Amino acid sequence: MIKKPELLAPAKDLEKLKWAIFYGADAVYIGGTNYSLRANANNFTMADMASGVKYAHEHNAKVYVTVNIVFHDEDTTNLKEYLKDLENIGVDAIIFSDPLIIDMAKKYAPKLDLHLSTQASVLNKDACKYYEKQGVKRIVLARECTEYDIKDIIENTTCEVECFIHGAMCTNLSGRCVLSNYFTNRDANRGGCCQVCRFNFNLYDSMGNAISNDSNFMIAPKDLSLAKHIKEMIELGISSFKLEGRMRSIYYVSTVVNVYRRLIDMYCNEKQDDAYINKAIKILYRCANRDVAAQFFNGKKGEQEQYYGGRKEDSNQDFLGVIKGYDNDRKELIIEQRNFFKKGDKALIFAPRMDDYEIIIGDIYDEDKNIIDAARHPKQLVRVHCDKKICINAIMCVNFFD
Amino acid sequence: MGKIILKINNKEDILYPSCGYILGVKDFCICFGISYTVDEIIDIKKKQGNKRLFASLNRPIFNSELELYKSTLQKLDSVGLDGIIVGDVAALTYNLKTPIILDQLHLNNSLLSVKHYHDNKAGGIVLTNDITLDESNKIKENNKDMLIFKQVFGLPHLSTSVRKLVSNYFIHFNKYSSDSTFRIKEDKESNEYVILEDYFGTHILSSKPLNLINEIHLINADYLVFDGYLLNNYKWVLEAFIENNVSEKEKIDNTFNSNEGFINQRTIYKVKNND
Repeated sequence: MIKKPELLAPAKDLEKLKWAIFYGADAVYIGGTNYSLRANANNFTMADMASGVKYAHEHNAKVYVTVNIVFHDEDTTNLKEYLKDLENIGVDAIIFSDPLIIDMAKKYAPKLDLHLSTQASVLNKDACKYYEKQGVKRIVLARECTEYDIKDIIENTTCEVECFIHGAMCTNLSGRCVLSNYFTNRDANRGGCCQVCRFNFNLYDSMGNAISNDSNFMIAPKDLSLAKHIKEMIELGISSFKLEGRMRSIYYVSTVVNVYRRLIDMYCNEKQDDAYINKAIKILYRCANRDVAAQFFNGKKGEQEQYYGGRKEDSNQDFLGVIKGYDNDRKELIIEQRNFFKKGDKALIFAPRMDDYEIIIGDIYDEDKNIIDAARHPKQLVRVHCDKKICINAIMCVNFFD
Repeated sequence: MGKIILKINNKEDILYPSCGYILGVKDFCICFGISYTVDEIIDIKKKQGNKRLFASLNRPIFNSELELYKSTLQKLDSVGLDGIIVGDVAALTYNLKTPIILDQLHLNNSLLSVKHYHDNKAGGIVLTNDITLDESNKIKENNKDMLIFKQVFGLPHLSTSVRKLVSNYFIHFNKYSSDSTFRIKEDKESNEYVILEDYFGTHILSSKPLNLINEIHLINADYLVFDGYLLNNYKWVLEAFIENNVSEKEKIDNTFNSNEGFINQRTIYKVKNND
């Protein structure tokens, strides 16, 4: 019998948490204002987290909180109270990398499930057994694990295994990199990583002769995408499929969650659809505009998995708007604009549990129902004819398949 | 003051004075100039009977390597070493009788983390270079039973990737170099960094050695690690460290362009609050 994996999405704030759950995430992971590896993000206050947990549980979803910095002594001062608070608001699990959390949580917040972060870079089953013995419920494996590693670990341990399936990668072994500390004095393992591995460098030989031209030596990896390997991932028995991207927009979160939700459901319902897999790959590429690779899943770590000076991340204007309502009488969508569109443009609307819907933009009306030549202004509410009733919070984007 | 212990990076190092040596174990160590088989380590143990000897397997271990890793550790366990330095917690599950010293590069920064490992069969810790003198000393004060190792000289490790980042670059651009060690520099930065590949992947090190000769008498650690990896003509520096000859600091700094790293300098944590 197929074990359906959890789809775990990132959420930068309460708004993104709700979008992720609406689009089909079974669980979300978030960071608090302290102890999280995204120190520069709009992290959740305790009140936000309580609201997020309440919302998630009302929608049968779980919330995991990252407490994943590598602690210095000064960081542990209020940690006990923080863990107790997380337990009290009903957080389902904490994601940690520093083992002191194991001892603290056992003592002060024993109801919190413990998930070991990928920051610990666990690559083998015996390391899993170490943490298993400590009462850790789930291990987020290092992204360097191959399919065979994952299989062997699952078959020989009792803890749940979580694997990243999509998003940005570290060049280096997670947790074993302090480039940021030395380049910028920002502590990589305490949330200050400035992503030195995305910089361009000049490369010199031992005699000081320049090897690279115009600082085109890069060490940045392409993003991870395992959309083509969902079937194998499910058959391995992985408990949770994790999406990277706690700094991402609602468009990114909604798109990626929507795609992987469909891919997982398709396979678990024995409705494999190769055409959709190919479509999904294009959707995923368009929403991040980065090259992707299966990275270590196939055991590969060669030339094709990284960038060489030509890393582009051009933003596009695919995200046209959010559906805010439907006027049954006039058969019009009420759309909150995000990017310019005009009459005649071809668009695609997607939403959870709905086949993607293609439309050609007809006349566009403003809020007072006056015809306008285009939707020009961010957050502007406009009306567009549509025969099909579409749910609120559906997303309209450029139909890049046409 | 702890004892100066020398990391062995070439054959001559073992003739140098120090209380003992750290030997890299073939196929399981990174950032060592030379590595040894278990049999070679047994020979060295016989010849260096009065010296402290530690074997180092200082990297994470892939699942496919576990069998060989475990059997290597079990063989080393019967050699009578003073400790085995490991980079993977898997070693703590093998019930070895030799003290296991955990070296996770940048992961053990607090007294409570070190206490956790103490309570779970670790016999010691190699401290990170990312903490201050006060933090370092507090860890030892609160973990008196743990053997504490602290690097006091050598190129600080900055990152390790299992990717062959330089080779890939050469393949992609159809370039060639007979060198094994390179330097990288960002346009905006004045500092250069060392980048090198080995069987495991790619490592980036600072190009400026750590020089804590001013601090060695203040550091509360059992072993002060002297590491000449990728450096030349450092015997006189080692002797200065052993003799606690602080007057050599300036000469060392001038010769090697060394500095004190983060021993007296905190890293920024709360980015938003500090920018």
